[in-house]
Amino acid sequence: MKLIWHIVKKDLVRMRLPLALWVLLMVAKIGLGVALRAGDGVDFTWFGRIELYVNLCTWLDGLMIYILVAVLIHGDALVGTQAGWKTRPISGARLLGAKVLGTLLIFGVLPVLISLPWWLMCGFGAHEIGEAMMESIVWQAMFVLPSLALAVLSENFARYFTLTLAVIFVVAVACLLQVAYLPDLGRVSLTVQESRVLVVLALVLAGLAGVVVHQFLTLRTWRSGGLGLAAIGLAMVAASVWPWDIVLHRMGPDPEVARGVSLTLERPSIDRGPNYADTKSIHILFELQAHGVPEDRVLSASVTRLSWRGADGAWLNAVGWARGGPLGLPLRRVLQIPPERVDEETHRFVALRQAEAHARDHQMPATPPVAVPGDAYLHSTVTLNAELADQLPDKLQEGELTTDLELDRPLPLLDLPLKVGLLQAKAARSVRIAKIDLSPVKVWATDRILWVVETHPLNAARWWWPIFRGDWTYGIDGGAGYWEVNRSQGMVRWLASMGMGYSVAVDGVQVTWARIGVQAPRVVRGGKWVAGQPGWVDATTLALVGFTDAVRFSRTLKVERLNEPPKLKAEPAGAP
Amino acid sequence: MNIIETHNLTRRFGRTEAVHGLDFSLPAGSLCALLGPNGAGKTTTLKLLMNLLAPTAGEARVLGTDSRKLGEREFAQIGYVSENQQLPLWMNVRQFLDYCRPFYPTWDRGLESTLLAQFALPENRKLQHLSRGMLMKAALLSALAYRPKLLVLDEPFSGLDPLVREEFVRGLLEVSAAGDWTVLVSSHDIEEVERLCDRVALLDQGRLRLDESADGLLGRFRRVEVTGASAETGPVAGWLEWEQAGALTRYVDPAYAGEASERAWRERFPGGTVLARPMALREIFLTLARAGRSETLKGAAA
Repeated sequence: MKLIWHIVKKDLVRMRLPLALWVLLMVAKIGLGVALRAGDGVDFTWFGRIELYVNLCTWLDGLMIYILVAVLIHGDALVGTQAGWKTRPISGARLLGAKVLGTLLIFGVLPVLISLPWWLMCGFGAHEIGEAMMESIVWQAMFVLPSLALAVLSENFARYFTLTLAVIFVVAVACLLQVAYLPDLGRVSLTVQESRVLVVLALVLAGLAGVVVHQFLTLRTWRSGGLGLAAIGLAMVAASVWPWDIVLHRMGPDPEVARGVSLTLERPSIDRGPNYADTKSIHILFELQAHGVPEDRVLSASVTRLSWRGADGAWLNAVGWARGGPLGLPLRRVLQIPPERVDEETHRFVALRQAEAHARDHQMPATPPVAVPGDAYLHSTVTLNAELADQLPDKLQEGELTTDLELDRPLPLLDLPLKVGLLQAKAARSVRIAKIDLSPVKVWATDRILWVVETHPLNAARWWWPIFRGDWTYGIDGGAGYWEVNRSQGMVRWLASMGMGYSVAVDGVQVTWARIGVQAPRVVRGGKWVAGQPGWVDATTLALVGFTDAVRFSRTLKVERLNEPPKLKAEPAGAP
Repeated sequence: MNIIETHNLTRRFGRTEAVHGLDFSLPAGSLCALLGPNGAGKTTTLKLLMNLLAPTAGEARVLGTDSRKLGEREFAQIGYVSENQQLPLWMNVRQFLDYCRPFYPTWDRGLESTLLAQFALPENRKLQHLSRGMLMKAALLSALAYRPKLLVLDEPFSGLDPLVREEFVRGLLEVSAAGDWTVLVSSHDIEEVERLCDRVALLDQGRLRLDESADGLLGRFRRVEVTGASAETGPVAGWLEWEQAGALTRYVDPAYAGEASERAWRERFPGGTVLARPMALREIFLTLARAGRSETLKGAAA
């Protein structure tokens, strides 16, 4: 170990100048993040320019990693007969140990150490720092592993670069061939497709690691290169023909809290959509009613899968998205909002207008008409391409609709009065209202626009890892969202998801400048809208609500027939 | 005990055979010069011995270990200096020695200081700023300071000026006098290795032409000049560089055996005056190299 450390120290000293340059680049990137976080929140042109620099730094970072790996490995080249270490008492295994340790220090520890003050500044706790570290390591590994495999097979930078181009060419050709001869993915279940992604990823990782380890231990360059090519070839084959579902624990047995939750299918129907003439694709709309949702939980939906037997008896699959309905009582409870004061005249007016719109357009309303306290409506949409749409019979045989669901407990994070400059931070999220202005859209003269500067953890690993585990619900509402809260009116209104706006990721932190419209309360008097509450700005807060205690499960419903709408809104010319 | 042994050692690069069926052994304590013209296979042979190249056929054993399995234990006892070896040029001399030292349990700090002073190496100068001669001396110092059992030098004198060569050889001789080691030097610089080595191996076109002690080699080669007589039947088989111009005959006898040889010459050239003089290693090398080339030409013509 002493000698391994001795080699590592030599490498670190040797690489000090390029490392210093790289550190400067990382610090500069974080500096840009700090500038964005402290920015005025209004000048989006400036934001765009800084975002460009951040992205430039990100890709320069990748380029620097590519170069640094070559510098690290070629300092004790494994190819050729001239490397000094080969006639010194240094074994391949010892050198491998030194280079692995060096790689971990340079590309694992160093970026984390540089980013740590930035993470702490953004209010990250141990949990978020752990996640950000993982993301940082995965990001570095994306560049480091392929670069390592190429560097161990070359003796100098010219060969390294040439080999890189050659491998890119080989992989590109292999991908083209694979696409050309790829069997129809529509006949493969979603879980098998996900399994293929996992298998390909595992083969590529194993191949890259295999090339590096084999080359260090044997110094047989052609054999090591062959190993890499074999891994690429196997990955290509697996991507095309892997038949087994290895995605485990897609949805385990129902957790206790979800056992009472059931779904009923209210209105399955087909919508050809405005672009039907061009795309020939159709949307199948499902409206689902949830029952038995616990009162302190919010139900949300993510992926929905429709399976049915086609005319030839084979199973067909289509994947769509599902969206949850209003949050109902749980949110009111955690935000301590009293029941809404219903103004009878306004309520009658709105109900009438909605009914008129529905009758005129034959479309489903944009939001469910009535929220049953504690329960929820869900909309689910499955889009079928022309080929699948042709195989959709009027009456589905053994049709099944599976919806992945999530029950969360709302977690109030911040509750900001509408005041400029006040920064609040909690649970690794920080929000500052940079500016409040009258709405430029003159729908209602007293509406306000808030310019908000926010930071929150990027959480990329948290999004992607569960998806690769086959649990798609993670990818939906894991983040927090803004709500307009007016307790004196008993009003709570959804505004936007956190991170929606001009947004850029800086070393594990998502910095966002968002513009959020806040609505003044209004009522209908004599058939006209009028102001509902003078001084409403002081009575309104911007609440940031996250979710916790996520419980995931799925529900499957039989779908026997689909109703076409009685009359299409705009029947395209030539449509069947 | 042989420090180096090769059996049918062969290395091909594509269709070119750089080393052909080499059978060679080097006893412990020998200081052997590996001579040969350009392309003879000297460097390839040394790289095969150092496991820098894998043999196509045959095997080599170094310090009793198969060359393909040379590991940390063996390399801790081997010093290798080559003109082609990559050195960490970004280090200064002191850093270079500090880096090498921990790998060798037998590193001698006293010897390091002595050689550093003797070679007049500037400790704080980066290797990349050293002259070629200085660089070779630094490499040699890093290979001598742990008193290796086997020192392998690949063209160590190439490109060095006479003064640096002198210092280099002197350094080697001084360390050599104090230690019990085996040295294998490949070089074109025959005068320098003549001073160093007690054994000579000649490679030509990948084949071992001769392998014997330097004294034996110098003793058995004579350049013979005969005047006033003409040969009756031309040269005897084995004589080299045979020339005849009127009454003057010249040749090299590679099997001189003292009085017996001189008697045989007189009998062959009756009435002639025979003058035989010993040859320097350089002359012997040139003679053998020319002979090898003409054999090749004959072989190619056939």
